[in-house]
Amino acid sequence: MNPQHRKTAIKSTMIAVAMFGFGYLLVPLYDVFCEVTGFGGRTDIVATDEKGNQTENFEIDENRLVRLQFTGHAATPLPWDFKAGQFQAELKPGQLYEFYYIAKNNGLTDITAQSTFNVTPAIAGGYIKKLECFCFSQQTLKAGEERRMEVKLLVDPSIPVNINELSLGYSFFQAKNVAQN
Amino acid sequence: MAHTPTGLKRWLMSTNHKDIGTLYLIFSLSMLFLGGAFALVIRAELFEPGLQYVDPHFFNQMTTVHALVMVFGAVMPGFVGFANWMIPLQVGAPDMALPRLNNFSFWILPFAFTLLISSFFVPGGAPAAGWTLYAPLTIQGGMSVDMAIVAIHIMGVSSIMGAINVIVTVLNMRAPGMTLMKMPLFVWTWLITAFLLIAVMPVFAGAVTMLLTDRHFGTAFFDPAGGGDPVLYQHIFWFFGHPEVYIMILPAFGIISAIIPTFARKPLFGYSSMVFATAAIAFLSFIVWAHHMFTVGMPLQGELFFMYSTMLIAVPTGVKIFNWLSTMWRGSMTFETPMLYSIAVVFLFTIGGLSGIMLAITPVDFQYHDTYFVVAHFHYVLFSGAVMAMMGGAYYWLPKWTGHMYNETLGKWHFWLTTIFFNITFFPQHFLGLAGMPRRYADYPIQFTEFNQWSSVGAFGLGISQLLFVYIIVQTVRGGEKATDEVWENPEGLEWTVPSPAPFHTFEEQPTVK
Repeated sequence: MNPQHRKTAIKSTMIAVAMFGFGYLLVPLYDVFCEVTGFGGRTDIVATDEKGNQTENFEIDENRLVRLQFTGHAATPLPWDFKAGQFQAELKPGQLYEFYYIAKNNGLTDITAQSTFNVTPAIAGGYIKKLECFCFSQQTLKAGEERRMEVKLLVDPSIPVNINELSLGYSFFQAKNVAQN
Repeated sequence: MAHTPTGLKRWLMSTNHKDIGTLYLIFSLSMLFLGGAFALVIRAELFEPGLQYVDPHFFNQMTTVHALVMVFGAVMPGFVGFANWMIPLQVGAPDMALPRLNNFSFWILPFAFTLLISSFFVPGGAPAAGWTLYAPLTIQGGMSVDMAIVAIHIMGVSSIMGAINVIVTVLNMRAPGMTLMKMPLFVWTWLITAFLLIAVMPVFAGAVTMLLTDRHFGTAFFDPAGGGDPVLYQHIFWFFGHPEVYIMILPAFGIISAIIPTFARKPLFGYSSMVFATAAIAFLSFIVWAHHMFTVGMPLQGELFFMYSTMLIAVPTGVKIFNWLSTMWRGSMTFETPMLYSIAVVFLFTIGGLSGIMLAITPVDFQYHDTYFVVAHFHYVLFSGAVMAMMGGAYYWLPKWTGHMYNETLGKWHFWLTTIFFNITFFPQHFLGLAGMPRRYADYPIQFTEFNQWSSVGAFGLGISQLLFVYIIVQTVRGGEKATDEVWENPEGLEWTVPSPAPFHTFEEQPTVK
């Protein structure tokens, strides 16, 4: 082959290979993007020490109340009942609250599931800070077992003044035997 | 160099750009009929409300495979066929730079499509999730999804190799004196298309590979159960998908930029602005993808960014439209079939472009999204843009390819039947979409009946008219009035300096361009 042709062909091939890699790079990039912008309703976590005690403190805003509504959903085909223990709550920004959901396994076997979460409006996701959540790890329910599942969270006091109503939704999916990527 | 292979070997083992071009064009035309047949199943079912001929699942297979076949089987290989035939002739090269690669990139295509089409016969039938193959639906589908994924990999490899061939040929094999800014616009648009191809086909290959590993190898890129996000698939897909739609239209711009000056008997108006406009469209295509996802959920800033960047594309596209109009302005125009097609492309593509601007407006897109308005929009840019430009190009260069003039009367009949039936098929779909008829459903409420009947009648007319196209091509190949070397009146370009039909080997000695 003409060396000049070979050179151009190799360069073009390298672009193609690099772009294949770029496709995969979009996965972590998207993760970072969601983390930074709250895109996709991503929430934040409160910094803790190794014993799980809160190390990051927020000033409580006594003059504001933010309404938070809760939804819960078990995705087909997971045979669970899953619903919020409270319909809504009014939160003082900065103060830590504990809420719960109730999950029941209607299946005939033990089932492990993983919950995802979502905040609307999406832009508010980053202002919901969790200290503890059943969504941090996979949950296993024995056949017929019912359990309360807790989430401890606070609303960041720096939340923009025009956001006064939020909804926090959890969906349980039957877990695959994989680590999160 | 008088060696000319014959028989089956000539085609199977061909390294000749003209033969491979012919293979690509025949393949593309066959796929046009196959994809068209699927479309007619859709239109037959939608002739009346209720379910008549097929069940909804099969209907969804039809919409999915129709799109995959048309995009990857008809339009893209069609343009590669034109590139193979015309780029060496237009830059004064004896062949494509990498002839064996050329052979390989064509001959893997029939395997890819055999695989895709045979998925109709596996349990559950062909993929039915739409050509976008959105996760999580495609994570759940049957084995046909795997067959489609592998077929897409093969098609992707084929088009990447084709693109590399174009890049190497154009960059290294131009005749002395042909600087980049002297290249015919068809070569320019294809060079830019080739760069788009090597940039985004691998991304799509990556996306479907992730689907495949999510389905079988325990990863969870798009599966929420493992921490993945289905919306991520849509982002990756459209990062490929939007440049892909320009891959399917830029070479069409190149073809009509060759045709219009010939029949207006004036040089192309604003050559360098055409080149820059093409490059600008290609660049912008990378930063507009999320306009396909306005309703999926995005921060306001995101929606605004993608709205404005999308609208910005109208500027370079407008430059092109006005350049074509200015080329025709006060020209001594004649209206042979290729010119009729080119004028129709300018006119009808603009309709598709304008409905595209309507769709780019985020707040109204919430109304139009996934309705027949979108279907009408992309058929105006893809059929009356890409496909009709290829038909015009086929009439324009057919005398050079075959050595015979086509039958002008029949050509004009083919043009008018195609254009009229196309508009009967797709114009009413704008109204259906605005009235709220969603796409990809086998049934509809009765108030949509009349427009759907117009559309179905038009579709059958459009399909049947294409038999005339085949007849004209076969007739021209077999005989007819001898074409001169120039074919048309003082056309511009090196391809008109070689005899008609173009001999098996051309430009063994490089021509010089002044």
